[in-house]
Amino acid sequence: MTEFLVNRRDFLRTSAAAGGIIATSSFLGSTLSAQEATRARNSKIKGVILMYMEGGPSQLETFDPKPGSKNGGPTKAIETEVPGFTPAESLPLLAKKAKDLLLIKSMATREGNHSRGAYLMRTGFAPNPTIKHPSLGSMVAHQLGNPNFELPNFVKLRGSPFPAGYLGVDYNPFVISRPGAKIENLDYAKGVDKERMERRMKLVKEMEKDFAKERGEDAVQAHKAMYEKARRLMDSPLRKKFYLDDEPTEVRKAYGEGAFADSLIIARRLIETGVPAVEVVLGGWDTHDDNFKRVADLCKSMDQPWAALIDDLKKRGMYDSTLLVWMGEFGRTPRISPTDGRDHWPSNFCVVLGGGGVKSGQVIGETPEDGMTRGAKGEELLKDPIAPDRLYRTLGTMMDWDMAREFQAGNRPMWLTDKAVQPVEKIYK
Amino acid sequence: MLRRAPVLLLLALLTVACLVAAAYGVKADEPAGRDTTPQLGKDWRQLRDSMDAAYEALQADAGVKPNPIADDSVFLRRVYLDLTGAPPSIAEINEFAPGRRDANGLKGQEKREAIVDKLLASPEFAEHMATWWRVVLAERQGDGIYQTYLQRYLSEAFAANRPWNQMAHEMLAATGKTPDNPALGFLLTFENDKPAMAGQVSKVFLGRQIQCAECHDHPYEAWSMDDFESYAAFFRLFSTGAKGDGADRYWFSNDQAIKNDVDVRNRLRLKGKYKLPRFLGDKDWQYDSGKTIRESLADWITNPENPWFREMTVNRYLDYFMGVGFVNPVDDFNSMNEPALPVVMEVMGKDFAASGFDIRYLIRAIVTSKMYQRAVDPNRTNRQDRVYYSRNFVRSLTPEMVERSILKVTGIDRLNPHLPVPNVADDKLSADEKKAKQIRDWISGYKASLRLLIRNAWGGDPVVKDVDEHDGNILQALMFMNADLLPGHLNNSLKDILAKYPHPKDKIKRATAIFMTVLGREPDTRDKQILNGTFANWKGGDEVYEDLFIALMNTTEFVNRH
Repeated sequence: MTEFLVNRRDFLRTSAAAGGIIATSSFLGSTLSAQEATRARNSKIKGVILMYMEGGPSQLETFDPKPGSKNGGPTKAIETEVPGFTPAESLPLLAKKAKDLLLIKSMATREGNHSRGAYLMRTGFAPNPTIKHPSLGSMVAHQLGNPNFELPNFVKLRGSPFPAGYLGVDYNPFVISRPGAKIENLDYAKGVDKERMERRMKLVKEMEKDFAKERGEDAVQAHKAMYEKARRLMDSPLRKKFYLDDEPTEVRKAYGEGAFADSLIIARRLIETGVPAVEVVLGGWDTHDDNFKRVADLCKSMDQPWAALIDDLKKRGMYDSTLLVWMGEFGRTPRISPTDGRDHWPSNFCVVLGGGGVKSGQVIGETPEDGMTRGAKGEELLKDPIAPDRLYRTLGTMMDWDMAREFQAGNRPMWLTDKAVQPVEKIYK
Repeated sequence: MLRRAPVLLLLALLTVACLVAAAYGVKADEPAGRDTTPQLGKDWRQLRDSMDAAYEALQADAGVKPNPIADDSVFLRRVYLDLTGAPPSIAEINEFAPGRRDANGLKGQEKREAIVDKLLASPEFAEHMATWWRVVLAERQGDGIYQTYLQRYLSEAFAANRPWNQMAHEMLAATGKTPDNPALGFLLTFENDKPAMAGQVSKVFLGRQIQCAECHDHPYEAWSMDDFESYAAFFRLFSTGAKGDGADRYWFSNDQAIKNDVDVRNRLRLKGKYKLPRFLGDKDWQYDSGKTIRESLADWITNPENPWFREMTVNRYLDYFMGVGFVNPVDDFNSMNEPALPVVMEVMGKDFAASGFDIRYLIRAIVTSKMYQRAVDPNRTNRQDRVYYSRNFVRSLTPEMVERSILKVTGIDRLNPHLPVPNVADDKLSADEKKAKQIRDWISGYKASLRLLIRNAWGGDPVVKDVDEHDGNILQALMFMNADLLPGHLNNSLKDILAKYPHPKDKIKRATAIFMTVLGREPDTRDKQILNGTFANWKGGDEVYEDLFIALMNTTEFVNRH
C-alpha cells in the first residue's frame, strides 16, 4: 500500500538541475548521468564568445549601410572582397576580415520591445510567463562544459544575470560587472586566512552531519557541492584568467583600450583555459537620437578589439574551434526621426558569425536599396528572412547539441531548440 | 501517481468525503429545527480539525506513519520564517520559552496558537506577505518603481487583512495614477505587453497556464488560440504610460471609456485580432453598464462561485506552508496534473471563500494544524509521501527571506537609518551630526550592496520552487564565506553579545547567544556538544566569536527552514 511511485518528471528535473555533480543515490540516476557523459559530440567547436549589443544596434550604421539612399543618412560604406559585405566606414578593420565572417542581413522578428526582443534573441524563444528558457551561454555551458571544471562554465562580462531557467542554477552566468577589476567575494575576507577559513568550515561540517541525518540529506548535499565548487574556484590558480595582469603589453595594445577590449581579451583567456561560454556585453545602442555619431563611436570601440580577437585566436590556432556570435535585440528604423535618431525595428537586422564551423566569407539575406523591408502595402521585401528559432537550431546543429533531449520546465517538456524548424544549412561547413 | 493506484484513490476519496462531511454536518442527536447546512467559513478550528482528521484517516489507510509534532524550538523557527521571513531573535525565543510554560502560563498547542496570533498581527508579517506576493505576481523584475508601488499596496492591504478577492479585484481593475493608487503597480509591470499580462493573470490567480495558446493551440489542453485571444481581449483596451519629470513623475493606466455594447465591439475591432472577450473556458462577456471590460473580468475572476480562484489560492498557501500543494507545481492546474485530493481541495476552497477570503483565517487553519507542526525527518514509511501530509519538509529560503534573515541576525535592521541629520553641506555639520551621517550612509550602503549581491547570486532562483530543489549558485557560497556581512564599523549583533557577556570566561554563554541569534533556536544536545567541544577549543581573541557567527551563517540550516 505504501508503494509511492517516484514522479519521473520530478526526478528528471532534480537530476538535470544537479548537472551530474551531485550524485543521486538512485540507480536510474547514475545510468542517466553515464549516458549523458558518454554522448560524444561531433563538432570541433569548443567555445563560444557571444558579443551582445544591448539596445538594438542600427543595421544601417554597422553592417548594412545604404549610402546615397533617402534613408542612408551620412553613413558611408566600405567595399570589401566579399560582395554584399560592405560595413560602415567606422568599421575599417573588420572590413578587412570579410573572409573570416559571415553576415546575416535578414534576421527578422516581431518583437520591438527591448526586454521581449532581448529574450527572444538570447534564447531563441518568445518570452512566456510559464517557462524560463536558458540563454545561449547557459545552453553552451550545459552542452559543452565539464561539470567538474574549476572555473564557471559560463562567464558573462558586464550586463545583468540572465538565469539559466529550466537548466538549473549551475548554468547561470558568473557575472563580472567590472571586467579586469577585482571580483567581489572571490578572495578571503580581510583578516581571514586559509587557517581561519578551515576552522569555520570544519564547524560547518560538524553542524551539517546532524542536519543531514535528521532533516535533509538532499539539502546538505546540494549545499556541500556548491561550497566545494566555490572553494575550488577561490583556491584555483586559474582564477588569474579573470584578470589581465599577466597579459603581454603587445597583446593589450593590439586589442586597444576600453572595457570592450579588456572583455574580449578576458574572453579569449577564459576560452583558452577551457571555459566554453563567454558573453561580452556592449551597451548604448538604443539610439533614438543622435544616432549617427553615437553608433560611429560604438563602432570605433568595437572595431579594433574584435579584429584583434580574430587575429589572436588565429595565431593561437583557436579560430576553428571558437565560434563568434555578434547580435543585439533588434535593428533600427530605416526612416530617420526628427531627432536624428532611429527607433526600434525588428523587421530586419544583422547578426554576424565567425570562427569555428562557420562558412565564412558570405552574406545571407538581402535588403532593398532604401533599407525598407516593408512595402507601402505592408508586403515583405526582405529576401531570405531568418527567425531566431532557426538561428538557434543552426547554432545547436553546428555544436552538435543534444537537441532531442527532453527537459522538464515546470511540468512541460522542453527542448533546447524548437524541433519544428530546420537549421540554415548554408551557414555552416 | 494517483492514476496508478485507482483502488487506493477511490478508498481514500470516500474516506475523506465522509470525514469532511461529518466534520461539517450536524450530529443526529442534536435537537430538531436547527440549521443543518454545513457551517463553512465560520470557524478556522473546524476547518483545521477536519483536515487533520481526514489526513490522519488517509495516512492510516495508506500505512503511512505520520511524523511526531516538532518540538517548540523547531516550530518557533519555522513559523517565524514562514510568517515573517526571518528567524526569531534571542528575545523572541526566550519570550516563547521553548519546552516550558511562557509568561502567560501557556504551553503546547495553546502557546503555539498564541504566537501565531501575535505574528499575524505584526508589521513584519504584512511586509513579508507583501514581498512574497510581489514576487509571485511580478516575478523578480528588479526593484523598479512599479514594484515599489506594488509592494506598498500589498503591505498596506495585508496589514489591514483585506479580503483576498477584494485585493485581487483592486489589482486587476486598477485605474487612475500613482501614487494615489499603488495597486496599479501589478499591471504596470507588464507595461503594454498584453499577452504577458493575460498569461500572468490566468496563471497567478487561476492556476491556468494558457500562454502556450498565444502562438499555437495548446498541445495537450483544450485551450485553442481562439480561447487565448478572446480571453486576452479583456486587456486590449488597457493602456498605460507616464507623465511628468523627476519627483513629479507619475504612472497611470486607464481603459478607454465605454459608452455601450456597440462601442466596445467597435473599439476592439480596431485593436489587432478581433475577438470579443470571453471568460476563460466560460461564457461570453456581456456589456455591463458603467463597467470597463477589465472590471467585468475582475468580477468574474474573484467571484466566490469561481472554483479556480479559490482553489488556486488555497493550493498556493498549502504549498507555501507544507512544501507541497494539492497540485504541483502550484500554479499549473491541467488535465495531466490533477489535484491529489480534489475533495479536500474543494472543501478547503469553499471554506476559504465562505470566510470572506480571509487570509489570516486560512493561515491560522494551516499553521496551527497537526500536519503543519509535524517534524521533517522522514521515517521508513513516509519518505516518499507527497500526498498525505504525514510530515513537513526542509525548504530552501527564497532570496527575499535570505535578505531579511541576514539583516535581522546581523542586527543591521534594527540600526536606525533615519538619524536626524540637517540637510546642509558637510562642513556645516557638528561632529555628532557628521558621525550620524556617516553611520546612516554605512547602513544604506550595507543594505544596497547586500541586495545587489543577493540579486546576482540568486538571480536564477525559480519563483515557484519544488520542495526537492536545493541547488544554489556558487555566488551564494562566495557571498556567505567572503562578503563583509558583519561589518566592524557598525553596531552589529555580535558586538552586542560580547558587550552583554563581558567576561572572556563566559565563552559558552557567548557562543550560545551567537547560536540562537544566527539559527533562531536553542542549541540541542548535539549542538551543545559542538559548542563545548570544537568551539571551546578554538584559541584566539574575539575573532573566534566572529568565526563562529560566520560559520553558522554558512550552514545549510541558515538558508533552509525545517
